[in-house]
Amino acid sequence: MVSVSVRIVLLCGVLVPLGLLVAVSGAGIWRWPQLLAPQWSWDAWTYVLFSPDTWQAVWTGGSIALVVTVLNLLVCWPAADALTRGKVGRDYPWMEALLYVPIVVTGFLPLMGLHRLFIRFDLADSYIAVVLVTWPVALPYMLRPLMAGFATFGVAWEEQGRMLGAKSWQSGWYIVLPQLAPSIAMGCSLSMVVAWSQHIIPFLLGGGQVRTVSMVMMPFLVGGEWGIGASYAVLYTAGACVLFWVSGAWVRKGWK
Amino acid sequence: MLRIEHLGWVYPTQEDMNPVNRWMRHVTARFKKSIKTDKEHALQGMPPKSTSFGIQDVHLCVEQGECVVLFGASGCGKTTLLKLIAGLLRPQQGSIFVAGKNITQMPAHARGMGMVFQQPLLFPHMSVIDNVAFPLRMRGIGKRERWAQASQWLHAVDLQPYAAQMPHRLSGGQQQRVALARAFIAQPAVLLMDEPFSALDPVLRERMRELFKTLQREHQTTTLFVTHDRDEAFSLADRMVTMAYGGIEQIGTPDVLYARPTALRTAKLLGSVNVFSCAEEQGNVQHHWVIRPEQVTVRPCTEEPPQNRGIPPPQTKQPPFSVQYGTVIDVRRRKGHVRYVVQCGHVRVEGAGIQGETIQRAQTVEMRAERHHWHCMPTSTQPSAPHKTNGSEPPC
Repeated sequence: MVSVSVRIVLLCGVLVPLGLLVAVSGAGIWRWPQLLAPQWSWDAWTYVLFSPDTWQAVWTGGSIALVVTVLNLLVCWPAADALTRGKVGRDYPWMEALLYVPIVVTGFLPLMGLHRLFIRFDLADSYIAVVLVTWPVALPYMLRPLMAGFATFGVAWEEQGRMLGAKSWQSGWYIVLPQLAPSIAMGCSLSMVVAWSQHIIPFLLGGGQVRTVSMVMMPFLVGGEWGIGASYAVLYTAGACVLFWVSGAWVRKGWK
Repeated sequence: MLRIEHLGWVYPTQEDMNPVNRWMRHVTARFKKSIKTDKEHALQGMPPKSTSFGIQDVHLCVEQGECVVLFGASGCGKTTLLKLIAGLLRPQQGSIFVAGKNITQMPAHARGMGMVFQQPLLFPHMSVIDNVAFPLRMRGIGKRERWAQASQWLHAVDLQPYAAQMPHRLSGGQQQRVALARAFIAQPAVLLMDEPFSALDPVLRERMRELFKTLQREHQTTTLFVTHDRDEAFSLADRMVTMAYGGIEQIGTPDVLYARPTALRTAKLLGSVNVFSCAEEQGNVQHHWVIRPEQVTVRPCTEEPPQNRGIPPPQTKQPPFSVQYGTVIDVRRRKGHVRYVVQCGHVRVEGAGIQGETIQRAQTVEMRAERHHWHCMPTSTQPSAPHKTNGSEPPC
């Protein structure tokens, strides 16, 4: 049973803004002080769904999220293992705090420094630049669930596996991976959503060349095309929800 | 056959620690009064604090098909020794041989050993039969073959109907039986058992011991079994090894260890609670007289006891007493017998009553101990002195 306070927060924080977005996307021209839109149409949605720019942007944003998540998984797996079960975590506990810095420090700081570096190496306004900068931003969201997973998992099962003849890779594949699947899936879903939701990074580092959904949406919002802008905003939110839901399904599968 | 020579391991070594931790440890040791110095530890017969915990110069030989029980108090290094043998820890000195082959530097998975831990550690995402067949899967044996073998082993531990179940559906005892089957199916060169039945209730533990002993004898599996349960040690051991402070104290058959312990700690571990220390007239060497509670007969006083009761300081050549009087201060009921704690001057003696006789607290009693039941042993001042062996053990 969901408590009343949670319902109020859910209503005010999620459903009302989302409902307004959907309403604006379906209203042609809706000006103050009209309480209801004078006419409803599918024009904005037709434009958004049939524009090649839209699907190109969805693909770009989705692929950035996917690449960032895969990179995060590759980096965070050994890092989380070392920080929770290894000597590094025991001897250098501050190292964990260092990896959470992207959450604490505003993204602008490294972004500006890196932008200058990318210009020097001729990487500015490129897909790689956006991926490389989005990567550390989403890293803590992968690291934390994996660390929790490794801490709960311990070493006993792996030791048992080794005593039953499992080599390192067999132990990783048959024992560690299935049991860490929920943590991995949770990390993946968070990392994907965070990477998908970045709009400043593609804007500044992509330089208009890397067009994600937020980049396509922005000109319509600035130019007063509220209907199309709202449609893109709904699509942007839906994309994040789908990525989260896909990962969530994997969580359930992994748990079973 | 398993042979261990000069095995040593210390944790944490100074080299292992980073400079910050080493400095923190130094500061803590200086300011924390409760931390004992190395000198104080040495006086108490314990390893120096600076080297912390470790395994020191262990020699051991286990014959083919033999079940050797490592017995000792918690924290004496039994599990660490087992992990060193298993390859889960890397020794800093010494060698381990299995069937004449040096396996000291081999990784754990290549040693051909099996290990059953205190917890069953069944893989929760695999069914019972998949768990049992896991070692065969690691060797690349086909599914049909490994399932056939796993079924046989599940039948051997009486769990065939549970083959398709997931481990969380089984009780603790059933899970440990699956763990046993999983260890035996691999036909290990040496089976290492790390207190596998200690989490089970006494009835189940007894049944598991019988099952294990049957399987071990049937398959002639060389076994090193760790326990701190005296009954378990005596019921399973072909030979027993007592450990203290990371070293081996004594090796011998259960009968020999029970009758003639060579170290005080071993005697106490095996149930001798009546210890009387005596000093030699010359020099610092001390001796102890020990006797088991069941060897001290306690019965109510039939005549008036002498006024000056109390046990005089014993001499090396003479047992502390053969007849003595005292007052019962505690009655302890055990499995099928009663023990009486008798205050005798400044000394307390634990003894056993005679069947049918009931003695109450505060009653004056007479204690009798036959001379041949007393056992005299020197004090061991070295924490890891080379272990004493008895003539009954096979040459290594």
